[in-house]
Amino acid sequence: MAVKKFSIPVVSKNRLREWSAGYLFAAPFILGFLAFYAFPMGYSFWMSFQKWDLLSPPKFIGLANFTKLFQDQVANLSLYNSFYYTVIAVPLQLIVAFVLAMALTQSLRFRDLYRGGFYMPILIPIIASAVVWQRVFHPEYGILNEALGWFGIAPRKWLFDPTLTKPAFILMSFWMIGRMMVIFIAGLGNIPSSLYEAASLDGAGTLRKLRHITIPLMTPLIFYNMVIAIINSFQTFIPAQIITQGGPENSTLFVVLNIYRQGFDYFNMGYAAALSWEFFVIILGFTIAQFYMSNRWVFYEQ
Amino acid sequence: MTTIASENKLIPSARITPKLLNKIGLVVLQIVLTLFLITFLLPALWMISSSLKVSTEVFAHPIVWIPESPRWQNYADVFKLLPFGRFALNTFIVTGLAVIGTIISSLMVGYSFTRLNWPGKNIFFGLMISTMFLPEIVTLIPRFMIFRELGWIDTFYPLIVPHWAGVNAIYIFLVVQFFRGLPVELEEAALIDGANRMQILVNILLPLSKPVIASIAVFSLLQHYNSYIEPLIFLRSMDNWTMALGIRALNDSNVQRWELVFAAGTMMVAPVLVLFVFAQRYFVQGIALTGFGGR
Amino acid sequence: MEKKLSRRDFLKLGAMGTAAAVVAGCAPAATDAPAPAATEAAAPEAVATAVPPKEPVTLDFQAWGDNADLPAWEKLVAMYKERNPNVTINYSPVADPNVNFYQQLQTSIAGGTPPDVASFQGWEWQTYADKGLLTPVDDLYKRDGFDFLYPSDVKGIVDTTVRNGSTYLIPLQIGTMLMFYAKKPFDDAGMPYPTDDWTFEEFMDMAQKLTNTSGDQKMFGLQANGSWFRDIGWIRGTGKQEFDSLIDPKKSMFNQPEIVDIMQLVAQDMIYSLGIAPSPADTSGGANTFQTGNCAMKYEGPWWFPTMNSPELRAEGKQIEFDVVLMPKMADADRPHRGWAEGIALLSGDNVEDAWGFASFMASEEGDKIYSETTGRVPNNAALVESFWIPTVQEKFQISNAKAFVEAFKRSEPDVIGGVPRSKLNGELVKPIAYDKLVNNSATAAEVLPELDVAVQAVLDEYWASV
Repeated sequence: MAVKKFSIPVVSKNRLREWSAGYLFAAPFILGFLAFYAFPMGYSFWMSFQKWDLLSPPKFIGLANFTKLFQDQVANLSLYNSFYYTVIAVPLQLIVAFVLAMALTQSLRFRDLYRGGFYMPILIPIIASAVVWQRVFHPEYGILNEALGWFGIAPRKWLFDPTLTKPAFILMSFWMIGRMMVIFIAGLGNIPSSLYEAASLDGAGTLRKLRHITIPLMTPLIFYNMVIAIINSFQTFIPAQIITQGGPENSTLFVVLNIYRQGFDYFNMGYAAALSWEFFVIILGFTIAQFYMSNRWVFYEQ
Repeated sequence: MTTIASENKLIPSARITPKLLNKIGLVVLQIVLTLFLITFLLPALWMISSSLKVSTEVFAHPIVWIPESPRWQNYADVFKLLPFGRFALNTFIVTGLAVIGTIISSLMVGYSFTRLNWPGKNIFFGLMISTMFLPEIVTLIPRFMIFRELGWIDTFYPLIVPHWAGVNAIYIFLVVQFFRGLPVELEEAALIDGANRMQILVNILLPLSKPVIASIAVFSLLQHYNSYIEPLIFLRSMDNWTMALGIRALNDSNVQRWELVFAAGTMMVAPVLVLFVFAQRYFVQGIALTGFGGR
Repeated sequence: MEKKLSRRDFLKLGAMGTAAAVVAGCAPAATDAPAPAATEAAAPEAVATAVPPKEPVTLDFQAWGDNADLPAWEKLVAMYKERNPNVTINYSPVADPNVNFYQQLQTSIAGGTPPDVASFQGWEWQTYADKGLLTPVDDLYKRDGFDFLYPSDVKGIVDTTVRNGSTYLIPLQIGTMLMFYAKKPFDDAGMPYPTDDWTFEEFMDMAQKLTNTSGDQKMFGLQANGSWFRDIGWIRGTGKQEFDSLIDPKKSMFNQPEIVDIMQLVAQDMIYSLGIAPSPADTSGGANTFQTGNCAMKYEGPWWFPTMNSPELRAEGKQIEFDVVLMPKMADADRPHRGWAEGIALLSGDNVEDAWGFASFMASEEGDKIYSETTGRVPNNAALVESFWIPTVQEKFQISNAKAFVEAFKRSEPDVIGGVPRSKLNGELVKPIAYDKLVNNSATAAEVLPELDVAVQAVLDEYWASV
């Protein structure tokens, strides 16, 4: 009988040394990933099938948390709030950041000062800016109503009218466009001016240059900013907790705030875990969908 | 040509060249931008100015933009109300240790991903990238449970240890991008000469990595200094609070004395602003290299 | 790993009032270790007469952090430390405690760092006791001769300190609330002050006459409290109650016509259709409140005294002159007022003996006097109330009707006590389903209360099913 000969792959000593060095140096990440990502996610998955208030032992309840979250009006409202906020805020932010970036790549005096100035609010801790914006929106003593008054617009009860709270939050979110702006500036700087010159020679005006050169070449960065902005925007938490506590009437109850509340205010730990998995799946789906659709409109240079 | 120009008196000023239009446009843009910038920064300026006001001036209608007599006393009052100095110390300790850990671990892991080959490397690299897109809340609750089992709640450990373990993929990614741009010849020569990998990292790559280290330092400093959710969940007793929690407590309990809340906020932001002025370059550089940077 | 540094100086808001260090003759302050044994020494070696040094102990105290309380905690902690140098007390006051306290406590317990002693209000501790997290104190009371309770026929105290035959809550104060009124608006309008026998109609009339919101400086007749548990004062006045039983309720009964009417009035109409109370938008950021002088009346408790008027405020000329009256007469002839005990409880753990030492010091006559006069709260001892509290607060805060608190307390009944704590009922159900909408004028009481009943009933049923 012919006996199959097993050949053990021979790994050279050098190779082995490289491998062990590789693991050694990557150890912080490997260990960290297992300890702070993989394990917690598994644990959270297990928790989502329990009822647990941390003061008594956990109780297995099967899929009850999941059936609850589909019917839970408050949880669904939180999804709606987050979607509303994201879908309106992100495109506006992209537009404003892009226009600003274009303005700040012209040859202006004190250009760096402008760039720094628009970036600056990002340095402020959200807790501090939330506290400031809470007063900016104050119905009687806030500067927003005061400024609107100069244009003859009546004061509004910004954070107390359920229909105005999300627009107020969207307005607040513009303070953070510095990051997008800087990326766009870097990207705009990378477009070779020869392209513009060639277009000028062909008789193209500013608008045409914008449409056919600038924007197409910037699409990778626009896409990139969009993905990051959507993820960040869905995670809005601090202003909602500090300024409005999710109200009035849950109009600013965003997804992360609801999860936090279920977990750390009401101690429905299992339910909070189930909600966070729902959230994760939604974000994942959204991100994948965006990557998929990007093939249509993002122009990568060959 | 001159005949046409001089004969054609219907064109009022043949001097409106595209160049002039451009110039006018720039001036207009400059003005618009300045106004926009001032409006944009108004809340921050108002915060600083209000931090020096008396209670009654804060509640004034119409708005008082510049306080009549700046009340520096407010800053001292913050310390009387809360041990803000203690909070600052806590914040510096936590931030400092976390930043150091981030730098060291990012360099190590980044080196491993770029210069070394090992089974599973690509999988882990992919995992690392995907953690950048993972919302924080998904791991926050189980992390709380884990730290609770370890007895680490109300200590600084949960705020520091994860960052020594490569939890922030962003910085690893930054290092990866950076190392990829460095030529490998020097390292290969050193290998042949018998140097071990650690020596290569420390003696060859490290000195060249100053720009990326600076960027990591600056960004992770911002991230840890400003963090709120982690201290909120993992810290308990007031002795351990960071400044972010102090501002929150001040806001909760001093609903009528806005000026104190603003004073505390200004104090917290001041060091970062100073840093920004001096290190602006590293911010921009870091953002340009990865696309992350801030929120 | 806890940072064991000595306590730093905390805030000195409000009074470090006139130190009334009258040590009463009777109740001895309990110490945490019995005095060294008698002198007959069977041991061969001569025992020195000095007390052997005690082991260092650290206690964690999670304290109610209202602005009025902070100076009191600081004082008491410092005093106890002086007498017991081996005991270090880490106290963490929780700011904005009406919103945050119990979450913090539960997170501490859940996070494995429970305090040894914690503040509790009379209706919240029962869930913790049911789960075995608190230590009953009856034996400790007997052993150390601790006896200060009100006569046992006052429901308000017994219901809120005892459960299933065991005492858990050590009272530091008696809580009850009355109608506070500011004198100036009445003077300006030329109206007489309210008296203890006023009626609800008279109250509404006064509130409307006092309201004037046309100018820059607004004046509202009443600062509505805008929360269910405060408005219980009004609800019970109608003679009805929101549950079948106020202790361990089984049935939710919010949707009764009298309750619908009164909630509609005090939570919504007063703000919107009548305009005699400021809306949340009006009071945001602390504007247009009772303590800024923009409201004529408010339902409050004795802890509010230092905010309105105190020697410090008078020195700066910023005081609001005020006084108190019983809540106006309504349909219920008994005139029930809300009443409860509030204080501290010992959590089950390793340090019970030491925790009891500190707790009993605070609740002793000496400690409680300090607590009471610093914060204005009513002490835990009937004799002290008459002999000490009434004269002290009348002088310090310049009021004349403090005895109304005693009257109110005699007619007191608890809010609601049971396995489902009031904070959970309020935070998860009553506030979002009913009160937020009422206070924001987006639904009427007739619309929200049926929905509330359904939701509360579901939670009660769930609780009883799992017991």
